[in-house]
Amino acid sequence: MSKHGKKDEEDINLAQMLASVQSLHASHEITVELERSKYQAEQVNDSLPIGYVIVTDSGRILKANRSMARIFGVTHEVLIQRNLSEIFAESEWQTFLQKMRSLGPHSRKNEALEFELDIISAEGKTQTVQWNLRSLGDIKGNFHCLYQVLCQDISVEREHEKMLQDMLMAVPLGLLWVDASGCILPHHSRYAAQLLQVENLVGMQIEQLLQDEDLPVARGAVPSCGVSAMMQLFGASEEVVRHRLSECVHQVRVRSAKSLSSSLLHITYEPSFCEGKLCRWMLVLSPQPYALGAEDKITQLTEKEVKLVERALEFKGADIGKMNRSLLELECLITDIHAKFYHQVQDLTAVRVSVQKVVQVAKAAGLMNLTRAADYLLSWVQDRKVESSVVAHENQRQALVDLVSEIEYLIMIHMVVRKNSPELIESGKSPSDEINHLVDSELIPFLEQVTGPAKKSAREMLYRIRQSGLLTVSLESLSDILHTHVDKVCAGGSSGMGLSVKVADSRLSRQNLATLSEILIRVLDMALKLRGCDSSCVSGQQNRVEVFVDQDAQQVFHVTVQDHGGFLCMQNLKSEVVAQGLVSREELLQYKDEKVFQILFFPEIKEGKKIPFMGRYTRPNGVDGGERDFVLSFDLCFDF
Amino acid sequence: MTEQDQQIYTICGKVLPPEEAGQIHVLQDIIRQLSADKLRCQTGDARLDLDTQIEGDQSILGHWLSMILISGRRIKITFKVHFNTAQGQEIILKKVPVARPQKIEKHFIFDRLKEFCNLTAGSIKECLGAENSKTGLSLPVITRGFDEVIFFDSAHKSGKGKIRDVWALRASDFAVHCSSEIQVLDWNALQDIRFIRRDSDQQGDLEFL
Repeated sequence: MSKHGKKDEEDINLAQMLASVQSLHASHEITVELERSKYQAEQVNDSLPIGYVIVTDSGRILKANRSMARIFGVTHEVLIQRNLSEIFAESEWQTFLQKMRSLGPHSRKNEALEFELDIISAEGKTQTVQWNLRSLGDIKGNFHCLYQVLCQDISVEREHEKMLQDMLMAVPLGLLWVDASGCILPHHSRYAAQLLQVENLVGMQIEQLLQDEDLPVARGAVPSCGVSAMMQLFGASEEVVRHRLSECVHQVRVRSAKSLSSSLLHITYEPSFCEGKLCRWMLVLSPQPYALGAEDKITQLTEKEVKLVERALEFKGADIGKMNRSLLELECLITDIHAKFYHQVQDLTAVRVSVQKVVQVAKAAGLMNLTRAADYLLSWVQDRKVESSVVAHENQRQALVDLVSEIEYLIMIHMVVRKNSPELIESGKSPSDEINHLVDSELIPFLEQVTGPAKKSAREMLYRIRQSGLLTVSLESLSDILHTHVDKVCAGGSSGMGLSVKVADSRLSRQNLATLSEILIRVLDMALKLRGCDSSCVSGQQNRVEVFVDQDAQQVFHVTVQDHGGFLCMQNLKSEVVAQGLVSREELLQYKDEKVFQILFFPEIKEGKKIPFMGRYTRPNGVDGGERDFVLSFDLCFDF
Repeated sequence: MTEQDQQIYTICGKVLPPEEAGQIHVLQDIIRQLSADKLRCQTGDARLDLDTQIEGDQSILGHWLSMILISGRRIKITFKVHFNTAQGQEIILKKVPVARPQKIEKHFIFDRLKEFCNLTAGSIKECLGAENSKTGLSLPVITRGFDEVIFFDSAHKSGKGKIRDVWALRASDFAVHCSSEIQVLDWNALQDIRFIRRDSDQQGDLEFL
């Protein structure tokens, strides 16, 4: 080989070596790049919000990301070689293994299993997890089969579903969803099934269930748009649907296909849109009392309440007759309340307590009509399941509570007057000491304890009592004080009878009233006994009894009883008079209605006659040196 | 050969003849010793023990895997270090005390373990005698421990006969697993292998790039 040829060969070798070095360098560079990109890809995998793990067929973990490691409560590096079974209860793990092995090493590519199974988290809490399993048929390593497992904690979603389900079970509205095919979707409210008288609504056609008669209500000129028309709007744009909704009369008479008779339901349509098109309707159904005239009834009730208050202010002088009539009107109101609130009031705990008190007081006062009405209300309240989850109409509920409180108040006043009358005839030992004792030991301590809105009135009353220099000095002054202030104290306000006054704590107010009324009866009684009183009676007016207690031609006490009997249920009165043992059943057959009334309420009063109630009193300190008679006369005339 | 040396090696289900098995055994022993020497050098921990009794046939021995390939026409050797981040931190802390070990960044750990692979592979290459000049070294690479499964699969599907050896290097406060895979294409390549220990390894000198 020539010298030149040898040099060329060396040059070629050198060039090949340089090329090899360059190739090696290039290979190294691309290796570094690939390593870096793989690292980044693994980082993405590690940060996935769902759990990712590769396990052997025995559950041994070969690879896991951070989300999975959080379930175990360790870092994902430490998780390798641990077993997936650690987060399962034994029975759940067997289920998991069974499902995993059902895939097997030869399952089709990308064939996956999805299911839900509970696990026990690192904190020891049970979590519902959705699992996705896939066999890695093409990767085995040293193992028989490897599985890719994805998991996601769906506990929160399940909890929300449960809450929704609970709400659907309790909500006093018919709620259901309808898809484009007119089928009712799962998760309708229980009340919807009750309204439509079908046990299971799911899958039924809404148009088969509801046959609307398109009754124009209130807005008669507006064209109605019924169920059928609304179902035809599927696929329409949001603008079109909203436009039709504004035209739609939502109050329609609907006949349930399963029911023999039609019922009036109120339907509200709530559209749901997917990609701008109507895809689902939510129908809100409610029964007739809510739908029709509810607002009118509320208005009427308010007017009645206003009248009631006005009347209550009128009989500040303890006009029992007016009061009785008002109580009878209240009975009607209770019936209205029943109809109005039936579908709207859910949390009735406070109402039930109030009504129970009404029943007790009404029975004690012998007010049979109110007892019956209140009993009815109470049974209704008790029958209702108290569910605190939904209080649909808080304002109405509060109105009901307030109204019942007012009923109680009226009854208390009634009791004061009623109890006062028969005791007027009693007389005996010197009452002055008793009055002083009564005031010192009961009235003053009571007034000192009054708190809340009534405190100011109580303090004023106390001051006036002390100013009067005790009762023996100025009983007339005491009488004025009582008449002027006792109502204020009872009502917890300063506006007369206080029926329109909303006290902060109505229970406290009622408690004050109950305590004070007992004291008041005794104090008034004693005051009347102590004074030299004359009485007279105004006769000639039907349906009315008036009692005047006078002293030296000055009226100091005045009771009026008035009732035309139109609202009284005589059958109940007759049952009561027998129950109280005042007459036998045989005797009852011979009595007229008015006689029964008299026996029950004023046994000593005879029709068309003046009935003197007589007694004796002793003047304190012997002003005129001895006892004196006092006379009360009644003239009763009822028109049944 | 001792009793231990009479270990049976199989490649693709075939048992190796005693002579070839002996050669493989010597080479594996050299690789193990060199890895221990290099790690002692890196950590300065003379009490590092070499544990060859690894339970089971575990392929995934750590979250991370650092590996390097010694490749020639007649022989290919892969040296791997299986470790977790915490173990990597301990290795670094042996030479560079840090107040807060969590502050040691991953890339620093990776560099150290790659360097460990590089040094070990360089020493292995030196021990190959005549084959030293005929083999090349790849760049050391860090990847996930799970990728070992992929490597297993790949080797199995290609029908390559690789002889795997696994051991652990245990110190008082950490342990890492190492593995080697030897693929012999020409048994003459193992004729003159011998264990060569550098003085610098024993002195623990180390210079980082």
